[in-house]
Amino acid sequence: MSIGPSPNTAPDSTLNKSELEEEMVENQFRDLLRSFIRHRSAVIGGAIVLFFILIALAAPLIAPYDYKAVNENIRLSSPSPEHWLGTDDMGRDIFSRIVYGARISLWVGFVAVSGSIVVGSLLGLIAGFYGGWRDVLISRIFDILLAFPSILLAIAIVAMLGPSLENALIAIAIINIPTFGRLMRSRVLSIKEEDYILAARAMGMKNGRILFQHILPNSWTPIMVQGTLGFATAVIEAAALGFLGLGAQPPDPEWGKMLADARPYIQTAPWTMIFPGLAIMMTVLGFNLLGDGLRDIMDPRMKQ
Amino acid sequence: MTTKPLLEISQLQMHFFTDKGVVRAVDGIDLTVNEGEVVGLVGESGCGKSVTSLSIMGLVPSPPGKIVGGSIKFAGRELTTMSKKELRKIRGNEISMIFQEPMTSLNPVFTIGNQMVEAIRLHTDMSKKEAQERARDMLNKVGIARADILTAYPHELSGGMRQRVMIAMAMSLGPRLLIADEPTTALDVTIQAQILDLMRTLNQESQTAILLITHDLGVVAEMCDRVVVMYAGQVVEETDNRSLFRNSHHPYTQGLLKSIPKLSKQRSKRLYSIKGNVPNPRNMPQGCRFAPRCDFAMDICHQKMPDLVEVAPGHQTRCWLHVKGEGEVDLGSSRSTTQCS
Repeated sequence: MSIGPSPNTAPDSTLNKSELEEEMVENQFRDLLRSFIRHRSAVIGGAIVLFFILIALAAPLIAPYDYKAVNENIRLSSPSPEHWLGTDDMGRDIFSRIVYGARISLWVGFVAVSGSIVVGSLLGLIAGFYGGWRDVLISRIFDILLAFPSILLAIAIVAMLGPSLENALIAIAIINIPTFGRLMRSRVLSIKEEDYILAARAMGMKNGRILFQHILPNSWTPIMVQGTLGFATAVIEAAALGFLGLGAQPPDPEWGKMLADARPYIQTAPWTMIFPGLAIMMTVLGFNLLGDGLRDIMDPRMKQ
Repeated sequence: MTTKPLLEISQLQMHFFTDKGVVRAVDGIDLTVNEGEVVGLVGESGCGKSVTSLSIMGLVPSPPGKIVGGSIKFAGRELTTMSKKELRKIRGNEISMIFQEPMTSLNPVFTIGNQMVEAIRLHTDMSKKEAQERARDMLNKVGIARADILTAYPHELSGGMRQRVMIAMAMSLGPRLLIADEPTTALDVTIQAQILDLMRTLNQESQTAILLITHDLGVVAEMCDRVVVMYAGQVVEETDNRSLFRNSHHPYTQGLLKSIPKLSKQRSKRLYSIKGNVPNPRNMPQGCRFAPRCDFAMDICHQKMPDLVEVAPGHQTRCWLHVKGEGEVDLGSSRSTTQCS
């Protein structure tokens, strides 16, 4: 095996626990990084994602104009040296709006996906591990959630809570719970039959310890991959809700909202629609490539 | 060696309640392991060996498994009625267990050191550092001297090494009883011998009793003080190592012994095999469970289940051939013909 002991991992017995752990994590990380760099689409996806993250972080430095600044004199002006991507129907700089919009989209993706991962995984763990009535209850809830077309369900939830970015975020998190829950449940079902779980029981471990110390660390890889892919879905769903006027409210520069606002001008000023659309597409593409790459890299069968 | 009983199983019945009917996987087992003793539990696949061992640990999934009768006493304490919490204190501490598949018995995402330290600290108040020392000591004892073993992941070790790690882990708290469920089945022959040697040494040094579950009579011959032979969820013969090979009484045991290839025999001769199959556990024969496959089956064998009878001090067998007044007449002839050479 090529990932055997490297020369610098020859600890003597004086090595203390934290050093051991550090070394372990370091080793693991290095292996992961190496296979990541070898995977082309993961690198491309990662670069795109990183690009958007940087844009979002540095938005005030990058954006040449205030994204809220309305200027009636330059309504719908085409791309020019002053306004790189043109202006919208209120004369706002599209480039600045897209840059600030990256913050909203990534934020929505991050929070919504984290929320559904935490809730979904927890429910999946319980359903898979304990089985019985808990499994029946949780699985049926997932089935019910999946029975609705996801966007319809999101609309219903937002309609109930009232249209705002926060509520759109909650809706997106809720509709994605079953994806992660079912994934986790199926992982747990197979892992709990593993010999090392039986061995852990034979050592006298409690259920909780087995669940969080032994089953969870063995099942989080697919969750992470799905999380990356889910990020892309969440961005699209946020844009869709924004487009329908149920997400971010004006003047927030949400990409989906920008698309919706640009609809009347698709023929006269196509840039108002093309650039926000491109931004959505690129972000989603980046996360999808990254997710697919991660799936390949993390597949235990691909490890040597 | 003391002869104080450490583990006493009496009339244990572990049944599985499935949709298709009740499977009587373990049906009235009696088994005693004395302190410091190595007892072999022998039988073919599906005869209830592993279920017996898991019952001792309280690890049979329930449902469908349920103990419907009998008792398991460990050092005077009844395990079958013990609370989960108390049982957890015994598991891994006083009774530990090693499994058949060393390749999958270690958690792939943690290092050996991590897993051993966790196991040790589960039952003691040791600091991480002390636990690490203990782990290193144990690994040395089982013959792993690699300096970096504690930071190694399971996938970096061979099967033999992993089984050594499992043994080190199982022995690290000085258990009084080690249950070894086919510990060498998945290993190749040279490693098998090393692992058996190691277990023998640990048994002699630390006086840990071992319940060795196996279907390999060669392993039994090498390791065990006493042997219990199981067939279809029951004990059919119990005796010491010597008389098992010299003077077995039950036709099933004799059949097992005859089916071992021998170097001295002519090669052209076909290897003996016991005809037929193990009975369907949902539909056991009415009389002796071995009767349909037995060369010596009599009428009574198909009608009534024989009891375990003592044929010599410490030697019991479940066969009508050896019940006084029933099989007496056949006894002489059957002995001479079935004696295994």
